Amino acid sequence: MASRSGQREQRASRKVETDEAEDDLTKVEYETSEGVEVIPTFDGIGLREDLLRGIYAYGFEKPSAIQQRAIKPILKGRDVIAQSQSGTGKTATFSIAALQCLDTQSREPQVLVLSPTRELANQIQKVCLALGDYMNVQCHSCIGGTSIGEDIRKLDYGQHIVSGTPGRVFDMIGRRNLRTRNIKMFILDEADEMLNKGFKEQIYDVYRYLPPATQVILISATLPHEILEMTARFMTDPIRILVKRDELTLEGIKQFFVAVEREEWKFDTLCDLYDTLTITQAVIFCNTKRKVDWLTEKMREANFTVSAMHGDMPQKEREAIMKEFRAGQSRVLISTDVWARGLDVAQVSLVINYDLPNNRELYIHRIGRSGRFGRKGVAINFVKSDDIRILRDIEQYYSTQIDEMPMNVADLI
Amino acid sequence: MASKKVISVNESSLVDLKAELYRKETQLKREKVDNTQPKKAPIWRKKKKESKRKDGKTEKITSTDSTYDKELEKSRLMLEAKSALYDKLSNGDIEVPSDEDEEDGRFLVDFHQKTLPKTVENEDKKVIDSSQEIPPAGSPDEEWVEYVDSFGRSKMCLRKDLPQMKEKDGKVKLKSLEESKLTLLSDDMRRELMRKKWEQEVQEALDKPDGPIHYQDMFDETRDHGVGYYQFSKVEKEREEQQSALNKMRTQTEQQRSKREKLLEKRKAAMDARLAKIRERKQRKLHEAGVVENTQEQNENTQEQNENTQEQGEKTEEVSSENEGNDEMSIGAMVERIRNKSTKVEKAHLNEWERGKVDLETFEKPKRKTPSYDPRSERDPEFAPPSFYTNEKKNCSRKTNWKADNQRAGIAINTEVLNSHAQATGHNLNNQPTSEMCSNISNSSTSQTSIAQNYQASFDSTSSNIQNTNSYFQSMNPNVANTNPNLHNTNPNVQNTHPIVHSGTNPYVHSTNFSVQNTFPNLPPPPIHTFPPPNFPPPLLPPPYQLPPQFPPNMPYPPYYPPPLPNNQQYHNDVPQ
Repeated sequence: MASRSGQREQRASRKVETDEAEDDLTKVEYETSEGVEVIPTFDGIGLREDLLRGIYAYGFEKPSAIQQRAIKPILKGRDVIAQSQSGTGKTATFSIAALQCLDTQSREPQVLVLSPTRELANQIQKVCLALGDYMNVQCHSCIGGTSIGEDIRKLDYGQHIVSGTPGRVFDMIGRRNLRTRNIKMFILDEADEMLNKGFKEQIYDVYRYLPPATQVILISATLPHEILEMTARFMTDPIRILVKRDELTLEGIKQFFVAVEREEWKFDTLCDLYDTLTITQAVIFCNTKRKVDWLTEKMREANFTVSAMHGDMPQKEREAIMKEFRAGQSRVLISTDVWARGLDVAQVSLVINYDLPNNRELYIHRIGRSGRFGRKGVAINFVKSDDIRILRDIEQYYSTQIDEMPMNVADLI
Repeated sequence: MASKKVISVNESSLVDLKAELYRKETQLKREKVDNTQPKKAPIWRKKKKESKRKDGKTEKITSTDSTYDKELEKSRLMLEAKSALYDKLSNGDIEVPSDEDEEDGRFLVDFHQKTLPKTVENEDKKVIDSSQEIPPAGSPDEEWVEYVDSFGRSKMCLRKDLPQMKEKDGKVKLKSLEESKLTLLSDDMRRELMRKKWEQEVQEALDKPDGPIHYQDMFDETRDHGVGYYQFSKVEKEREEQQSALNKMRTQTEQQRSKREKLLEKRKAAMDARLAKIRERKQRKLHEAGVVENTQEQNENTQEQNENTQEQGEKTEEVSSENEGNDEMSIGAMVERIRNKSTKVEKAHLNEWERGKVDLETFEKPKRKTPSYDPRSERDPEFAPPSFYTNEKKNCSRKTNWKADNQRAGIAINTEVLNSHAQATGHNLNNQPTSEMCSNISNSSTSQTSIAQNYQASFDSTSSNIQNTNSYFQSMNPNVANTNPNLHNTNPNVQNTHPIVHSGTNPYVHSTNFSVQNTFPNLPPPPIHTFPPPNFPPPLLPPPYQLPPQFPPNMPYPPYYPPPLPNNQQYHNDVPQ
């Protein structure tokens, strides 16, 4: 692989290799690699015809900024770290690249995509199937909470792309039902989450089973510095396409807060806002599963129709709720951070942080459930008096503006 | 008046109403006429009134007031009575006398019609009213009772209907209960139920044969697809068929597209070729024009200018075509072109098929004008334009010296290349069919005008200017022996020669063009030409210009030439080139 990135990056990676001074990495400022080509049309990228057909059939007309930049380096076989704002087509970016690299004659898995939640894995599977519809691509979602027998059967049938969550994928690799011999591309969606403490070990477990020449792609809307530092361990001379954090919030998503003083007042505020919620679709985020259950119950008691989803529910129920919500049959969804990342329901235009998120990255991901692909969105944060500090920190960190909620918030949706 | 009219309300009723109005008005007028006279009569009364007025205004006012009041009162009463009557009539309280009974249709309004719906309504009302006054129930079953249904609404029904209603309500209650049963179940119980259901689903899925999964199997959301979206069937076989059909259509489209592109390309190429030809012609004209304007200047100017032009030479070919006003440049371009033999004429417009062929300038010219039969040859000289017309043209030909110059300059170089520094006799073999049809051999000593006229020779130049001095050529070219260019106007035989002349694309044609005079000061001084030159290389010599025996004497006309037409007939322009 020809080195194309700037000297600074080379220096940085060299330092990791030699393990000279790992402290120095904290001072390295990661920037977008030099010479990243911008290709303004899908045709210009040089994609196969049946894939192009799938792309246009899916409704894409012109590649988004990240698609214009990231697809080509992936196709060239480079390791790529791609970052872009929420709802700007990251999933499609790596899906297109993966589909382009496929040999559909073979039935062996050639691309492995890992994502932090089962719903996201399912969504990626669906996007791959949609884009590769004319290629007759086979994509399997290998996630926990489903029948292992079914998984085995599907994998034995032959799949081109496997999209899954780390646990089940590792299981399937261990059972030898997921053969990694032909895997040439390893994609980590929501990479910062995947390389976080909770997942890191599992990811490395899977990574060890992959062929040594496997191309690694990291994708996320947020890539904190410590994650970028980590990448040098399993990526060779990656192309970076990064977004500065003051450009990470979308113009289209208006952010507001409601000062509630006390926790008990949040519920009444939410009830007052219910009419606004149901204008299109809304997601309400709580920080714990128990709180989701509690809030759902209370809302139902007050005769509000809501649905709820969190990780403790059986997978089938999660799927049923997702299906309902995607189909627009339910309009208000109360959820935990299991819903914070990657899920794409175009009609969601309002996000309520019933509790403020536990970290800055999650804030971006949560509010990014609205305002998908250039649409308008509104985020409302319920802020207790001692939370205001946190909100101001977020505001400052992303150089964005979070105003007090105006009366006419419904007009903004 | 006799006719009694009931006015039904429709479109024609307007006319009826008008007619009625008119009738009433005339009636009124007549009555007035009848009545006014007696009323008007007593003059004294008037006077009396006036005197009264004189007596006291106040009294009069009060009296009038009182009369007014009285009248008002009266009219009010009348109106009231009228409206009361109307109400009664319209309510049907008073039976409207049937029209037949009335001698003079009293009412214009059809009260029968008007009252009908009202009476019906009233009867209904009466019924309701009567029901409201609940009659004492005959039996307890007939009593009205109130009950509350499952939705919490209070309802009334007869006691005898109560069990029926309750039963009905119970059904609804059960239904809604069934619906809300889930919420009444404990969460665990509900989950258990759902788990069982899902297990069943999974089992079903496992029982199904293995098969590919596609987007259509997964699609379950509200989403707009692109216009190109094709919802393939979920059945694998159908899906394959649809895809193959789609691919077929695609290939068809591509084929048609490529076909069309090819066609367009072809057309464009043809168009380009034509354009190139036109451009070439135009450019040549421009060049020529530039020279014409400049010949005199050129003669005056000395080497300086030419040095300049030489420097600019390379650029000027293009520039000159664009900017014909820039004389220096155009001359420079021309000079450069002539000097440098490698840069052939209008290289820019060299078409692919023209490459590697004989010199363009001489080769192109035959194409410029199709060998055309000149109908003037048929002309009775009596009908020819007056002689002064041609004389004038002859004078004009002086201006066209450039042509000769041009040619001569080019030939001068050719002679240089050929190392033929010899006698001062240039011979100019022109194989250009129309304008320079005949090869003109002229002495170098002849004036410019005479040479020019060789080129201008088409229809008007006079034979006096042409001196066929070169016996060599004369002997070589028996067919062209009569080199008087006028001949072709009159003598069809000469005309017949030119197809041969230009059809025989002589590769040596260029080198056979010898010229004498050098009009460009910076060119080497005019050599002393002798012809034939002493060391003239034989291979470069033009092959003896023999016209092949294409025309057997017994063959009246060359195959591609039309027979001479009768004088009055029009010439068909379908001569092959």
